[in-house]
Order: sequence, then structure tokens, then C-alpha cells
Amino acid sequence: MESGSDAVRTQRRNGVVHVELVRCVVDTDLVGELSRLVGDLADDPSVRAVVFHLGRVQYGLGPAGRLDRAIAELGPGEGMSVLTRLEKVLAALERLPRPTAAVLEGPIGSIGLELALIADLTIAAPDTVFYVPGPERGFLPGMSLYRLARYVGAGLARQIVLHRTTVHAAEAQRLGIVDRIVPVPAQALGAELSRLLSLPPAALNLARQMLTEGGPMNYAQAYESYKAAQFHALHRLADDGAPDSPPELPFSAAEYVTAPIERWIDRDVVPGSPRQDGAADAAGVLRRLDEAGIAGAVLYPANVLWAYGRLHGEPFATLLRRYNDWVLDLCAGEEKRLRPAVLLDVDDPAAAAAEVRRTAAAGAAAAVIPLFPHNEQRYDSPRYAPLWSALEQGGIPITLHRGSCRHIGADARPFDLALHRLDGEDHLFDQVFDALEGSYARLAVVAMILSGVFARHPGLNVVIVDFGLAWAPYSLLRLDEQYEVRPERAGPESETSQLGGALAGHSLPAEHVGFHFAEGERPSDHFRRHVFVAVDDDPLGLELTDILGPRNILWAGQLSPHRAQEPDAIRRMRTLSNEERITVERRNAISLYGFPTGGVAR
Amino acid sequence: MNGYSPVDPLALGFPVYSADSHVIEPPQLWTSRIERKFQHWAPRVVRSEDTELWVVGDDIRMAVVGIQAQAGRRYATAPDREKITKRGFYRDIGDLDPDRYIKDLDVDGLAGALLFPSNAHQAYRCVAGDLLAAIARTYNDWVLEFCGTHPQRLKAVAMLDVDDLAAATAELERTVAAGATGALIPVLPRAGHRYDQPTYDRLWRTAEDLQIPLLMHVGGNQAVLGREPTIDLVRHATKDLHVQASLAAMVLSGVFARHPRLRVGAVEFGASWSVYLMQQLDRVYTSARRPGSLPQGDLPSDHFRRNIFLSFQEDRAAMLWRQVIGVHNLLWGNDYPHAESTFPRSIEILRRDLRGVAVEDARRIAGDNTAEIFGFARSGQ
Repeated sequence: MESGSDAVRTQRRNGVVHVELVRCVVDTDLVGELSRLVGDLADDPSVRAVVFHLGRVQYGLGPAGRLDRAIAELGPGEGMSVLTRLEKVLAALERLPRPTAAVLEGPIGSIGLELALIADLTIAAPDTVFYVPGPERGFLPGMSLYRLARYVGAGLARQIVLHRTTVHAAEAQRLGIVDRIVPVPAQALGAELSRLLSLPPAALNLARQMLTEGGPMNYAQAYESYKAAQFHALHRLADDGAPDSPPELPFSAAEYVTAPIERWIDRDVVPGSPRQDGAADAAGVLRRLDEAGIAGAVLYPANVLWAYGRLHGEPFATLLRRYNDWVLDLCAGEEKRLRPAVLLDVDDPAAAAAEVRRTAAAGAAAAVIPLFPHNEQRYDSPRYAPLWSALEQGGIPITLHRGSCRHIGADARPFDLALHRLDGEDHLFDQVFDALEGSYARLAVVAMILSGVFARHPGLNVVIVDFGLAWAPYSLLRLDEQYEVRPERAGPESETSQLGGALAGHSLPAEHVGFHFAEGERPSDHFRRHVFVAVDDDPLGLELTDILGPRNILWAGQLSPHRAQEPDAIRRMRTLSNEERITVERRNAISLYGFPTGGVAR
Repeated sequence: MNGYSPVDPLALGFPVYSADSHVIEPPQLWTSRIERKFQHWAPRVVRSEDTELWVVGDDIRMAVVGIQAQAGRRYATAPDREKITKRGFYRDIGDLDPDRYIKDLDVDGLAGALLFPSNAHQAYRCVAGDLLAAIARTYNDWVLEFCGTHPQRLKAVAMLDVDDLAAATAELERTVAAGATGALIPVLPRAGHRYDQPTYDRLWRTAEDLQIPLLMHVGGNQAVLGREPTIDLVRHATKDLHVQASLAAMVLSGVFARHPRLRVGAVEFGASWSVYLMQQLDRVYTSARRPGSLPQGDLPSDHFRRNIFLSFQEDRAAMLWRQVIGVHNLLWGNDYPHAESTFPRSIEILRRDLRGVAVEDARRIAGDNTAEIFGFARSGQ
């Protein structure tokens, strides 16, 4: 009698059921087949023995990690269900009142090890190698750790699982996992099985039960421990997208505080509904960080950035100074976890430089400059040199943050965004501006790079917050392409913008008046050295880390208002490796903002 | 472009078409052909200092001769390397006739090319009214004749003056009947106008009915009327923002909901910027408090993918994101004979940028999409 499926083939000869595992992937199909089979065996008194065959042809290990992915892709719910059912099958086989045997050849994965450990008789070919799954998969290799420890002792099991991961046939025989090693195991099976079947059935079953249930922790206890540990492991795998979280908590490049602006400014000036979703004191921020599992954060205002688009002159500068004093005071004494970003009015670069020096002395860790400054004074203008110097000397990175454009209003048209606001309410203009606001951050860094700001200020860095990551690859390609192909265009705008309209004499501007990069250097090199992008999660952007990689990415826990209002707003980088995540979530923040390198007490 | 040898036209295993190539208008194109009443203001070539210039109207500078015919210089190495410069003279360019064009297609390994102007569209920025319409008509007649000499390999893009929409639709109908397979419109229309305004529906409807794509090409921008073209490198490295703003306005206002068969192409702006724009349009649209302009269940990115295609020269990020953008929306172009051109290394560059791309996708991006949209013979035909 023969039957079979994609996962399992069975054959019955003289009361012995031979079960051939066709593939190595522990999945719903395989476990379902085995579960049905074991149920049938238990109910069938004519079955004398069960033999599992795991051959090198049918049971090749397949691509490395296939097993891991099969379970990991099921998610914690179904993954746990499959693994629990598998363990039930194995436990039932272990307690089956009939002899069981395993015949092994070639490389053997986790389910082969499980079967070898529960079978009464294991016969292996000389080239059999057990690949013992270790914790690198992110979840437990079933109950095989428990069984392996019982067979070989906890110390040896630890060595095998954590440090070696392979056990060859000869060693397996010494450890008692394999009973016989023969060139053709199937040929030796008949004689060995006959010997087992000749033993008194009742005594054999009793002996097996004693062996199975013995030991310092009984099976039921071990099984409960295993289920709890496995459940935890699978959830972590699903939540984090990687087997192990970074060993320490992440730093967030952007969290928000709500400042008491009603004390500083006439309510009539404040726009409709600025964000009010940040904490208003250090205790509130720290509570939020603790709840979210965040080691420390750079703090921005939830309700002040609007002023960049609406206020001017002394009222504007005063509001920013008051906010700066307030946030510096809020972070005082909590420097290891809370790092304040101060707000700069760059309309007067010398005054902005003075504010940098003042706030740096009081603990400022970052400085916001408007996405686009006043009067189309782009950041390639030399007027900002004193500000760049002050920031560089203070070791304070610049922040370009959503919502901080100067003068984006009815009459403003920075750098030819060129989509005209129509008279009256113009929601379409507002929507297009909202969609393209990140372009101003891009323009800012492009202007700085192409005018050589980073060559003159090699200690200066820029962090772009809340615009995602997917804008960056094209920007880098375009920067290099334009510089490579059209270097004659390099030059500050001030030298070329006078040339509109009818031209008396048709004179042309001098060529090659701008910044030229060192031989072999490209504009994108400056981007990669000096520009960072803070995002919470951007799967598409993270697909192209070959173009802009983890070295330039920061993790931010709390970004846009609509996301911050969601209870599960804390998202983590799902597609990065552990090492990349440590760079994104910790190293970059430590390097830019001076967070402590060790763990942070909570 | 002397000194180059032809490349195997099937070097990649399928025919390659450029969705973005250029003719160079002869110096007497307008002065010899435009209606008499416009002759005094027609585009003409003048000499100034160390270069020739195109001027129009009341001596408004329209373009500089030189950079338009420097294909290949970017790949030259010392000591032969000649600097890429805006400056130049017609006498150094050589033959401008269609047969020479075909020879250079062969050198570059191309089966055919869609032809845009090098100078005519600069007039969008400089003049308006009857003069602009006459400049467009004159150019259209000439470029249709130019392509008519090799109709299987050269396809003409007509140029439209969209200030007068009745005249624009009539010119679109006329030029399509004469063989044009695409029509150029300004990236952004004149100040105070936007393509989301219903007045443009007439043009959209005509293009839709004629199944003719409307094309926005780098440099063809009316919104900066009277200003010097953006010769500043910072602006050049970010000039896709104009087409992003224009397309965003069209998508969000529901132009493509009202005209589902209208196709618009963004030419020579690259392509990978569209991924971020689609993300942002969807974010803005779904977070808006007021009802949107799109049919229930539609997202802006759905319309972007359905109605907009993008031409690029070198954009590896777009190749990696091709499924997000839509393989059928990506059209390669060589920008010949401009300085940025991939000529004469187009096949080599395509091979580099298409590495890892499935052959059926590569075939679409490098040729079949352009063939399908602009009426060239597709591979296997």
C-alpha cells in the first residue's frame, strides 16, 4: 500500500509503515501530513513499527535558510500554530506504543534531528551530518534543544547549539543520537528492526516511557517553557523583522514637545491648530520614551515651527529665543536622554551665529534653520558663512524640518516652484506645496554642496527630518550627472540671475565661476559625508540603500502628526540587518548628537 | 559626429528606440519660412563675442549655439578632450540633414528616435501671442518634412502654443494628420495659468480623441517668461521640480479622472523622482479633510501610473524601482546630439543600467514602450 503527497510519502510492508519525508521545509503541509499519519497509526493496531526515511536526494537541505524563512514568513500566529502542531506530532510519536526508527543519509536539518532524538533506533550513513539549528534563526529549533540536552548533557548541547551547529555521524553515534552507522542504512534496517520487535511489547513501552519522562525537568514542564519561549521569539521576529534586536535601545532623531507659547505670544497670531501632541515637560517626554522603548531623543517643538512662515523681525527672533531657553531648560539635567534642537532665525546670519554660540554653551544639540530662507537668499550664498562656522565650531548639526519654510504665502515663489497660487482659497496649491515641501530641503543641501559649503566647513552636518527617504536616490544621481556633464554651469546664482529679458549686447556670464570639486570627487560624496535623513520607516526608500545607505539614515520615533496620533506610531526599520539597524538607530545618533555610547538607565 | 562606426542594431537582442532626441534647427529656418508679417521678429542667429546666439522678437536671447551639438564630448579623455561649453558656431556643427541623422542613429545602435527641437521650445519663455504660434507652426512644418524622409526611423513631435487653446487644438489636429506622433506643451503654462484649470480640458479632450501623447520637455517652460534660462547649476540639479509641480496639479485636480485616456510624458527629467512624488501625492490626498477630485477608491498614484510616462537617459534608481513606477511608463532616450547625450555609448550605458533587469522589462524600457506610444515598429513586428 502506498500513498503520498508533496511533503510525505508512505509505504506499508509487513505491518511496518515507512514514512519518507520528501522535503525539508517545516510548513503547514508537512505538519498536516504528519499529524494525520500519527493519528492513523495510533488508531491502527495492525501497525507493528514506524520507520522515517530522510535521504540525501529527497531530503537535501535546500538553500540555506529556507526553513527559517518558511516559518518566519508565517508570522507569530500561524508560525506558532505550525510549530506547536509539529511538537504534538513528535510527542505522540515518542509515546507511540510501537517501535520507531529513523534512517538517515546526507545532510540532516532540524526535523531530522528531532526524529533521531525520539526514535528508538537510528541508523545513519557515514556521510550523515546533523545541522543543529541555533538561535541565529530568531526562533527556537523546536523542542530539540530539550531533547538534545537530555541525550548529551547541557554542556555539550550548549557547545553544539551555540558554537558548532554541525554533528557528524561518528560523533552522533558516540553521543547516542545514532545507533548504527552503515554504508547503506536501509539494508541494515530489517535486522535491527527485527531485534526491537522481538522484545516484549509491554516491557519495551514501559522502558521507553521511563526514558522519555525521566530527567530533572519533566516533559510537561519543559513543554510549557518551550511554548512560552517560542511564542516570545516569534513575536520578536515579526515585530522587528530581524532575529535579534540591537542589544541596546534606539535613539530617536525626532520627538516633539509642546511649548507654552500662549505665555510668549498673542494668541491671535497663532495659526488654527498647531500640533499639541508633544509632552510639555521632561517627565512627560521621558515617560513617553520609556513606554516606547527609546533610549533618548532629539526634541523639536510641536507648536512653534509655523512661525517660520508667518513672523518676521523682532517678534520672530524673540519667540525663537524664548523657545530655545525653554527647551534648553527642559533638557537640563537629562542630557543623557534628552537633546534639545534650537530654532534659528537666519534672516540675520550674524545674529543666528551668536544664538548658536549662546545656546551651544547651554547644551543645544541641533539647530533648525528654515527649509527655505527669506528673500530667496539660498544657502549657497556666502552670507551664511559666519553661521556655518559657528555651527561647525559648536559641533551642532543643522536640521531641515518639515513646516519651516520662510514666506510660503500668496506672494512667495521661492526658486521657481512656479505653480502659481490663484486668487482666493487655493487648496490645490496648498496640496501641491505639501507634496513638494521636501523639495526645499533638497534644494538647500544641493545649494550647499554645489557651492562648496562642506569643503569649507568639513565639520558641518545636515539632518533632514520628516520627508522620508525616497527623494534622495534621484537627487544624488542628478547632482552628479549635472556636475559631470555641465560643469560650466557651476556658480552661485547671484552671478547669473541678472541676465533676464532683452540683452543689450547679448553678453554672457563668465563660465566656471563656481565651486569645483577635487579631482575624483563628486557632489554626491559631499552628500554622503555630511547629509543625514531621519525617517521612521520608508520601505521603498530602504530598498535603495546601495545608493544611500545606513551611514546616512537616522531613525526617528515620532514624525508627522497623522502618524503620531496612532497608538502604534513607533515603527522600526524592518528591512535592515541587525548591523545596519544599530548604525541607523544608535551609532549615527551617538555620533551626531553626542548621546552616551553605553546603555541608558531607565 | 565623425569617426564613429555603426553598432549592431540588435546588440541588446531587441531594437532600441530613443524617446528623447533632438534636431538642430537650421539657422535660416524661421527667417526663410515664417509668414512675412513675423519675419522681423522671427528667431534668428546673431554673433556675439565668442559665440552665436539665437534671438527672437526684440532681440530677446533665446538660446546659445554650441551645447546643442556636443554629443560625445563628455566621454572624451585628455588630451583630446574639448570642454563642454554653451558657446559655439553653426559652422562647427556640420551637416544638419536627415541622412546624417540616420547615420548617427546607426553609430549609436538605435532603430529610431523621437525628435524634439533644440531651440524652438525655448521660445515659450521668450515670446507670446501670434508670434509664438507662428514660430510653432513654422517649426512643425519643417520637422514633419525632416522626419518624412525616414518615416520608419524618425518621428516628429509638434510644438503647441497653449495660450490660445482653440488654435492649439487645431494645430494638434493638423500636425497629427501630417504625421506628428506627439505634441510638446510647456512644462508650466504662462504665469497665472495652471493645467488643473478647466480651460485646458479642450486640449486634453482633443489629445485623448487623437490618442496623441502630450509631452513636457526640459527647458520648455512658460512660467519663467522673460527670464534667462536657468543656467545656474543648483537650479539645473533640481529642475525636475517644475514638472513635478505641474503633474501634481494635474493629478490632484482630477484631469486624468476626466480624461482617462490622456497620456502625458515628462521628457528628460529622469524618472526615479516619481516614486517619492507618488508617495507624497497619496499622503496628501488621503489626509485631506475635504473630498478629493478622484473617483471613489482611486489614489493619485493610480492616475500617475496610468496616464504619465517618463523618459530618462541614465537613472539606475528608476531601474531598481521599475515595478513601483510601472515598467510600461519608463522610456529611455539618448538626448542626441546635446552635451548630456549618451551618444555614442548608448548601448553600453543601457547594458550597464539594465543589469539585473528581466529581459522582457529591458525590451520595454529600451524600445517597445517608445515604439508602442509613438508608432515605431515593435520588436517582432
